[in-house]
Amino acid sequence: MHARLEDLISLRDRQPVDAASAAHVAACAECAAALRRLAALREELNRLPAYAPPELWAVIEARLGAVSTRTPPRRWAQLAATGSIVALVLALASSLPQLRIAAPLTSDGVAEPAPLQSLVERSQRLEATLRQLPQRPAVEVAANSVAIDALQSRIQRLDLELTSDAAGASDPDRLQALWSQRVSLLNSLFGVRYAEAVHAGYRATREEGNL
Amino acid sequence: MDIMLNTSKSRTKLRRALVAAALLAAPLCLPLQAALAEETPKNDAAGRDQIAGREQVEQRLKAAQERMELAAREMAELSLSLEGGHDGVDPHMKIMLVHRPMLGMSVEPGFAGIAAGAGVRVVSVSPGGPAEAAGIHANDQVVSLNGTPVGGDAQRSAPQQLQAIMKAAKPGEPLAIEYRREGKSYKSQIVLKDAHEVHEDLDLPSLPEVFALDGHDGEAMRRVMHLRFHDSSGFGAAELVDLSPALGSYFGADKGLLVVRAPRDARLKLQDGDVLIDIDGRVPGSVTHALQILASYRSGETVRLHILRQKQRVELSVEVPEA
Repeated sequence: MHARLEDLISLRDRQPVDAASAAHVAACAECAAALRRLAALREELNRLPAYAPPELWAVIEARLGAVSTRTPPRRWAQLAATGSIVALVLALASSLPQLRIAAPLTSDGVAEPAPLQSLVERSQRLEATLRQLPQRPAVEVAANSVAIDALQSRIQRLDLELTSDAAGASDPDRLQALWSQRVSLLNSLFGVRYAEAVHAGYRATREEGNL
Repeated sequence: MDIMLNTSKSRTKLRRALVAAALLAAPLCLPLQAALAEETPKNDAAGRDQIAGREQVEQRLKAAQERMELAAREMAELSLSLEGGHDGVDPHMKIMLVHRPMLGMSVEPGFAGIAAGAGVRVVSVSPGGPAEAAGIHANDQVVSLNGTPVGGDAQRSAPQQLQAIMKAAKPGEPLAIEYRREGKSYKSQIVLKDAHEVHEDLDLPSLPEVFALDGHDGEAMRRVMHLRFHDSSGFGAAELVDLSPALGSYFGADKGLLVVRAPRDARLKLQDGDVLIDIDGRVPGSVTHALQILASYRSGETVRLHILRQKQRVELSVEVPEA
């Protein structure tokens, strides 16, 4: 078994790790290469220009009033440390295939959802919204039923493909296209399911004699 | 009893008093009566107008609801066609040609050697799929499947572990699944679905056969795949329900589709209350299947529908109208 990411980071930072892990990394070409990548990454991060705090921060602090004049440097140290961790995770995300669904930093240093991540989140929100709809009615309008089955089948096949992509190397553009299709299909599915629910509600009202 | 008698006497007195008061007051009320006499027809007319107005609004509401359904189905058709190849055939159809058990979800990618921890995160859940039926949501952490922990090991990533478990399992067999959500553990059962099953449902030639054919069957398959389900003018407008055992015994059939509301098109000859038994000998397994079978016919072709009407078996010979 290869070394865990935490052990590799500890080794890079000259922190203690268990002897077996250290011995494995020393002997394993893959783990040694991963360790070198992590070290190079840290070097790159260290070379990044210093980030000056925005002036707005001083205004906010002044308004808060409760912060001593000595606090900001410590806070900035904490923020810098946190920023380093975030940057490390994000940089790792771009370097390791298994974390490719991650947010990049904009030129302002503010994280914004990557298109892929945004698509995944939209897809998950649509799934949650679909769960809120009432159960499908027993009496089905044939055309609605066919549309729903066709959409669901296509989404199921997309998920099969996404799973097979996950198991191996994948083309980021292809992955993006698959998630984009998924969102489009879920949108349509919600539309038909909603229309079906309205139809069922209308039928129930009609049968009760109110319409 | 005394109370009842007293009550009855009191009511009689009250009635007499009211009648007397009415007689005394009658001359005084004549102008009012005349006014009311004039007013009543007006009220009737207003009431009729109100009813007519309500009916009109109801009709408009129904029409709007039908337009919404139509638009939703058109959206579905368009979003599906966006993914079709130039010939309209789904380029991913090859997946369906392989017997492949599926969970109906995708998980976060991973790779061998770096453990994902205790389980693997679900990224998406297919609507109508096995995972959804098992209660799995996106962002749940699947800890184990069929008693085997999943989270990646030295040889395999977590998705590879899941696939290995699925390949060893049989479609239709329930597998124990353990997952975590917001710090709590849950156990459920998930029944793997065969990806091929979708194709077999169509009761039509397989895709390679379709590609090999230039004749009618190939076209039939393409028509099914291009099913114009936004069109509600034909069989698509029918409201159907799969016969439950209780309904089946009532209608005298053990299987079939009950026509709750027949299509408006009289040429289709179906009536409310019919039970559709088979279409040219092909027994529809579901509402969707029935429409897929019907869609395999060209416009102008004759299809024989075997139905039960008032418990009598009837054959309807229907010419498929233009879409």
